[in-house]
Amino acid sequence: MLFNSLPFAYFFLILLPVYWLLPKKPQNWLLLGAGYYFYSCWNPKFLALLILSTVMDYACGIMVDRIEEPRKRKGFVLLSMALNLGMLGYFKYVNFFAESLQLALGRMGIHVPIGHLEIVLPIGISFYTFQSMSYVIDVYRKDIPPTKNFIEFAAFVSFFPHLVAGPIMRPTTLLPQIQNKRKFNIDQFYQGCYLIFWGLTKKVVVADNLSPIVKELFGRWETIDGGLAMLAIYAFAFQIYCDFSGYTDAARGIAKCLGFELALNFNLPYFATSPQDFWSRWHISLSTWLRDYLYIPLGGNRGGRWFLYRNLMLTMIIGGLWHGAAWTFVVWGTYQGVLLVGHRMLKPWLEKIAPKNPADQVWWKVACIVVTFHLVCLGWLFFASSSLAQVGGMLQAIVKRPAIPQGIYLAQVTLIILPLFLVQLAQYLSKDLDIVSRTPWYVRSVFYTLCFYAFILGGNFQGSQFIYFQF
Amino acid sequence: MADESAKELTMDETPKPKRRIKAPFGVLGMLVIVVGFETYVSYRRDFSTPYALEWSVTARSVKHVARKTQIPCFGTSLTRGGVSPRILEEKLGKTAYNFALSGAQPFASYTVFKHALAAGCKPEAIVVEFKWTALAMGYTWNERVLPEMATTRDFLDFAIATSDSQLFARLFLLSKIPTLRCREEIRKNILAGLNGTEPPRLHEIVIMARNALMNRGANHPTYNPKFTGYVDPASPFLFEKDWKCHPFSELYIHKFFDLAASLDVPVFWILPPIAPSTVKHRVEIGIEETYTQFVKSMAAKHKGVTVVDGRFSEYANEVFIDSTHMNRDGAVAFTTDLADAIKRELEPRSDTATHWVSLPKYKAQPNAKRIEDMMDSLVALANDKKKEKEKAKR
Repeated sequence: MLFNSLPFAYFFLILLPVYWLLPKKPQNWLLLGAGYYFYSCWNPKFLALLILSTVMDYACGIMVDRIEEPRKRKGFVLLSMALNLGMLGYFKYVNFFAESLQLALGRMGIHVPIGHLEIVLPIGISFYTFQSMSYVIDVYRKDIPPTKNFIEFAAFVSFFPHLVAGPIMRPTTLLPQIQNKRKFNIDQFYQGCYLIFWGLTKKVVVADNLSPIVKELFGRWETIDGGLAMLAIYAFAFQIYCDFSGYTDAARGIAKCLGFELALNFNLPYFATSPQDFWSRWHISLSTWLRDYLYIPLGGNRGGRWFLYRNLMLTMIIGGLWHGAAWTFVVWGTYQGVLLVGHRMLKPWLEKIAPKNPADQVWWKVACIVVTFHLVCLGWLFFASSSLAQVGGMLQAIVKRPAIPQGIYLAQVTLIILPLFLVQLAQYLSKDLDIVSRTPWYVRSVFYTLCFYAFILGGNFQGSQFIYFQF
Repeated sequence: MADESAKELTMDETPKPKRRIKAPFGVLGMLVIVVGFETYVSYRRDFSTPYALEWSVTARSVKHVARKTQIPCFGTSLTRGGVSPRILEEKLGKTAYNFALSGAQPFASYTVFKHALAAGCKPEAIVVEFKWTALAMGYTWNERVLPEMATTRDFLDFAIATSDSQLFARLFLLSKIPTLRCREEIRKNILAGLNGTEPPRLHEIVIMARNALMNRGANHPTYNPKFTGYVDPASPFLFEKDWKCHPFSELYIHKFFDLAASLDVPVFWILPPIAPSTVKHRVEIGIEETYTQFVKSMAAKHKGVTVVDGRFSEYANEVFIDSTHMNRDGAVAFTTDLADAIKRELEPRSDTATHWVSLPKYKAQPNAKRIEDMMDSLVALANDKKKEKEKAKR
């Protein structure tokens, strides 16, 4: 059930009034039921995995809290991690590792027939396993007390707005919201409606209209010139951004309508001035998760420069692999690690050459934004390509066959991206993501009308899936 | 008492926390703009296609002419182009009107029939046709055009019959938001505006509207010299080997006949002529027989249904614009024979069995030119324009 589909509209329109008519306890029951129903709409068989993960982590959380002995406590954390990562590993990575091993052995002259398993990837497994696992870790760290109420915990894990594509919510922020009584707030409700509307507009108007262009150009990468290759990468950059941030906006909006606040997952990432800044604006919930549960436990920036670089590289490679079981994702993660390390190395020099004059600082900032955006785009090339040969081919086209892209493609991509860019520019310059809601009512009316007609006339209603569902 | 009232007064005077409910003025403003724009779009003919306009014009004509119509004609483009109400009126002395809709499935024909009755139509005979291609299609086939004609209540019936609540929501939204309904046409218009070209098919819409006005709902195409009778044997529309009527269409054919039976009105289920090479190939591969059996089995279940079969009347290639659609000459010849058959069948008889009337061989009608075809409409419109210009000059 996709947010951009009529069945979801029915589901939500029925759920919402019933939810607000109920007191807190039955509200959580309803949320749990809704979450399980929402999840089972894809494949009811995989609901068992979600329930298994929930039951195990609930039990592990209680055990970790009850037991005093450090070794045993750690044992339960490891049990939870083994279960969640085991599930993730089996469903997502078993074929990838088996095929890679077979290939590596083949290169050494050892031919081992390793069968390919027919495994269907359960939707959202990368999201809910991380979320559920982090609960046990937080209890272990004594950041939160364990919840005794199973329904509350299960509702937290299966909270449908963010169940299948995030944001990955921390138990410290979402669990108390489930445990406490929600109160209907009209302002929060309006904000929620706006976020749903804006998120779906980004998805249906921008991402879904860029999708066929990206598909076509990446599909015939061997024959396109450098201009079209560049345009394909730019288009993909905006497609993936609008697809994912559109989903997150809608998820946050739906949660707001239900009286919850979900974390901001995207903060104008293409206005980042450095790779480090980019990762503080892109998929914020994943990067902070990786920071808190991987980078810091690895040692963080303690232990000297080289340890810091090692930890950064490891975190980003694992982050890349989290996105998908393919070498292109590993290369993408490595590339992001190299960017972060490189930026750390160059930071003192960059600070030295940065202009001090306020007027020049503006241009310096613009240059930083442009350079960072292009570095990120280069990363997207790894992300979107189906093979490393394709990456090489497209890069070669950009370098050896530079050209101005064909007018029809350029016009289409510009027409789709420009309105979004202007809105984001206004948000960036005003340093206010909610700038639209702070404008006078007549400006808002015109803005909403334009969005409405962009949706109606420019929307792609094929009900295409969100890209991040595959992760 | 005094104490109590004093108490009440005190209670009333206790300051209550102010509950300020904010109105979403931004959204309200948007709604006003949207409603205004949608109203404007709903009156714009150029934000439509000839196909869609045909459906909306027919829906409007049902309201105005159905009351005075004694022989309503329902069906698809085969009937819209192939049955001339003016010939029926001349031959039978009864008022006739063509309510057929291109691509209409039985649900659409049934809905128009229902609307005609609601508008006061008291039919004495009904002409109906169901094209095999439309019968084989799923129920979403008419989704774009149904909102041009059907009401919310019809959508509800439709949704209940199909058990498809999504379809109801889609049709409802399409009917209430004209921009959504005409979004493909508007997009083409915008592109045409950007390129500085004429909006696509606007001239066709104007011609079609005039032609329908002159022919009591019918649209008679002009002679097509390009059609010489050749048909592609691989065409899935014409030669679908596993042809089968969709159960939903079957249901509404029954509903149509039941409704006619409840009024005790004879129904003439027409099977219009097909280009000779097409019908020959259909017979060879056995589809025509399958279709005949289907028609027979359906008609046998209802009283007062007469099948008028023109498929084997050997109409010449010259009277077709493609393998199934007749031009004005074909329509006049076919309607003349149809009128004769209706006349014969309307005579009182004792049996109630289903009748199967095979039409005679094609005979060209010398006076066909008195019926205005699309080309005549085009010329007439050009003349009107010329006259207007001259008038303006003076």
